[in-house]
Amino acid sequence: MLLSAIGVAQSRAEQPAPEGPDEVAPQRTRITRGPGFASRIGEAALALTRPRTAEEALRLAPGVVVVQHGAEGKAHQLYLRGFDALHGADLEVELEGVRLNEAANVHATGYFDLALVPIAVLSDVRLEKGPFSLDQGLFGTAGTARYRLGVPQDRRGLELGYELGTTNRHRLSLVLSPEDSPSDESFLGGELVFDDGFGERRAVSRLAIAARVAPPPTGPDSLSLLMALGLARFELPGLVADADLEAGLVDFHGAYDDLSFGESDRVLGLMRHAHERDTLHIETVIHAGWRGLLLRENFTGLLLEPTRGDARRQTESRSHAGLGSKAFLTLSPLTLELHAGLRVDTLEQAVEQVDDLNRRLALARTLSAELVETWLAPGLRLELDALYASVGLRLVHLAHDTTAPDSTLAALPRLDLGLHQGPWTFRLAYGRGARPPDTRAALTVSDAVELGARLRVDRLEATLVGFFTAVGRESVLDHASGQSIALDDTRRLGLELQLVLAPIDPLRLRLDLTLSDARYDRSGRPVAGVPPLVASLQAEVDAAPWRLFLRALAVSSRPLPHGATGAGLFDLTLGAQWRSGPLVVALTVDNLLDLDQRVGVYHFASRWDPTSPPSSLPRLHFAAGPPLTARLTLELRP
Amino acid sequence: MRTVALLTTLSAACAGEEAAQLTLPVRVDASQLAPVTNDLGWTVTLTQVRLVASSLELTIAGEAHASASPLTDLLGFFLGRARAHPGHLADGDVAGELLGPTLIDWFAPGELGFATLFAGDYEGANLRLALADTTHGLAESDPLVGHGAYLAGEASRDGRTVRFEARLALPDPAVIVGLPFSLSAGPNTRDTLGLALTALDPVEGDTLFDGLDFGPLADLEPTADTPLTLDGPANNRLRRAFFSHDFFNITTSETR
Repeated sequence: MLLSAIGVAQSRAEQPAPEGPDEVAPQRTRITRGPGFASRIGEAALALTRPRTAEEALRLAPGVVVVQHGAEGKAHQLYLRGFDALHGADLEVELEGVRLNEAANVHATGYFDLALVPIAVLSDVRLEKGPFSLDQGLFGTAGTARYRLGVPQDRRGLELGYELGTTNRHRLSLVLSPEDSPSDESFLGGELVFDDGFGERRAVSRLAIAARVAPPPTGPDSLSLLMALGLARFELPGLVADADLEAGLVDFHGAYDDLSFGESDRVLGLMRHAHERDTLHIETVIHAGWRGLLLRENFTGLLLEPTRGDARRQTESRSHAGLGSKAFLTLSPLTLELHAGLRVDTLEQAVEQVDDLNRRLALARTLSAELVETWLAPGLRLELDALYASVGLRLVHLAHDTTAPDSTLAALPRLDLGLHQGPWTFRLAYGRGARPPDTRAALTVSDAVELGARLRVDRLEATLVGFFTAVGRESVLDHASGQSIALDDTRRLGLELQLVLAPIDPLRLRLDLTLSDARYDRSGRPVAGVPPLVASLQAEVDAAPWRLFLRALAVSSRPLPHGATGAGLFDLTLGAQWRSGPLVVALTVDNLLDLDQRVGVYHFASRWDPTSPPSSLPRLHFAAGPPLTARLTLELRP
Repeated sequence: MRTVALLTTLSAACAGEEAAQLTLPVRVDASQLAPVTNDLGWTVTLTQVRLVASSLELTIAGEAHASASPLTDLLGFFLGRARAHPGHLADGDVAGELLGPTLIDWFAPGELGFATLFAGDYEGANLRLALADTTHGLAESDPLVGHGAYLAGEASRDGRTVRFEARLALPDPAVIVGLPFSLSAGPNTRDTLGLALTALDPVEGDTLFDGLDFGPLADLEPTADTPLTLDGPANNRLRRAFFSHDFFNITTSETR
């Protein structure tokens, strides 16, 4: 009971949620899952920690490092379980069951941003590490994050919010939801953000609106319609070379190029239908959407083009539509399940060299393509009191209609075994994940094994998980060429420890530690950028009308090519919330110690000083994290 | 608080650090410039070869090789295997370089400077070229000015000798990629690197001058006192051959 109220709860999949303020989202399905040790970031944790964006919510998940090497609005770079998941290459991200990762994105494969998710209506995020569930699709090589929208019962009505930040941040939010609704289904929510950002070239203006209509169910059938819209305009600071910082060429939070910017627009519509009888549950999601992306960036300065500069403009227009359905037939203790779907992406993209006035100098490449993905995944579950077993095979067919049409079929087996014994839960899982590396119809596959145990006693929950993953090909984003590059086979071996405890009321603590060793098979060298150690400690006090939290994150130094190492990271975040009647006042302080944070570290060649020789030797670069910043939020809640 | 203090200390101890570098001398290596006989029977002896290099890049293979792990191989045997596409890094990762511009003359060989390298197993090199001009220490009348390379020599067959010269336009892109180079460089490496040119492809056995029939060319320009200027198709043929990695390599020798 106490543990379930902790901000980032480690709940059992989609089984009936434990009680507590963080578990208010009703379950739309009674279909249970195995004993997977997934992380759930619930509404209470989100309300307390106040992430700026939906992507930042993933920072609350154990072992996840979220790096913004651009500015709010651009996709983040993610690290988990020994993966540099880039902008989404190895982390499948779903919004209400619709995958947001974009195969063959012009900037990086698997690219996703969540500019269309208003934080105010973000119900929860569930992070499943590893590709062990039958409903995990492409890009889930390191795991799957599932975002759900909704407004809990205690916030239904009209809610207004205003956030003021020390970076001249202004965020207005509005949520409207019918008070008499039996669930969190129907709502209208939106937010408007203007922020100068810290340092240079990090200003953002964005708008996010989401609305769902869910008429009362008619018998066994229920239907809902969801629309989400996101518009973002943002500056981009690029990366800073350590040597240039030491030479005084650029400030720690500075930017070389005062012309880089980005635009991300997205609209998504989906209809969900559920049919539920005693032994049969069928859920179908039909979706369609469009997105536009424009990124004008320069990571290498004057290296490739000494006079005109290396700036490039990447543009993409993509429409997508699809249908996904899953059916469960329960013949206790067996459940038969079947997942099937189709998704079509049609895209036009271009990469151009541009000058200081953003005029096109040369066309580097263009692509016009139609990507068709189909899947069929039959499976079988056995659920007894003490035993859980799930086995299935996900078949994925990928076809690309480009200048060289191609197709491929991959078989992705999944196996999940669980044993409950008193306060103990044990798990053994195997799964094969897949990621499409680029516009060719080819898949990089990963084979993952997880072995874990969890102990739950009165005031303690302890989870220890060992994992191993072998990846058919590594993928890195080459900043010089602006492409994701496939490299040699890799393997990852790691250990995760999570402790959640409530030593005394009202104090709750969560400690997690992730050790991972990611290396190339052939050379034995470490995978660049992947931190061998990630640890965090979060303390939370819930003493009405106050709620307080303090979170420390430590990331070890990170290996880079040629034996270089990137700096480690230590960050303290403080949050305080006070509520009186309908008024909620929240204060969030980032980087409490005001340290110079190198949140992202890289090693590549660049040349920003036109008087310097055009060296092609790689050198250290970093993406700066925010200095000490604070945000004050006022909310009027029902 | 002890944990926080520990983590702070841990993080502070984990500062970033640039990769260790070493410097090695680089010189022009003319030891491989011997007369060669081309496929048409002409024995060619070079007397001048010059170009201007903007830089010499030394590359390691990086991780861009295809191989499968034992586990994925085993699983792939039973389940079938979806393969990814090949890597893009055919040119390797640049991990060492000698910055120019540098005038390189194989008939006045000397030191070119010092290359800076990261430790690693080097497997190739790229020679970046520049359009020669007077800023490179050349007189305005120098035949190399305005070109990417200048060659001169003699071709002999059946008792007849033809002197020739060729001014080769700068290729686009101005780089010769993939020069053979093998060195495992570490902190104790003391080698001297040599930029070698040969007229005989040591792998395929062809020569730099294959396909050039100097006799008919000389007959078209029967001025005995001046060397034959290779232009037109002959120049193009020589240019294509010269600006390929077949005739260059990087040698290593123990530094004295």
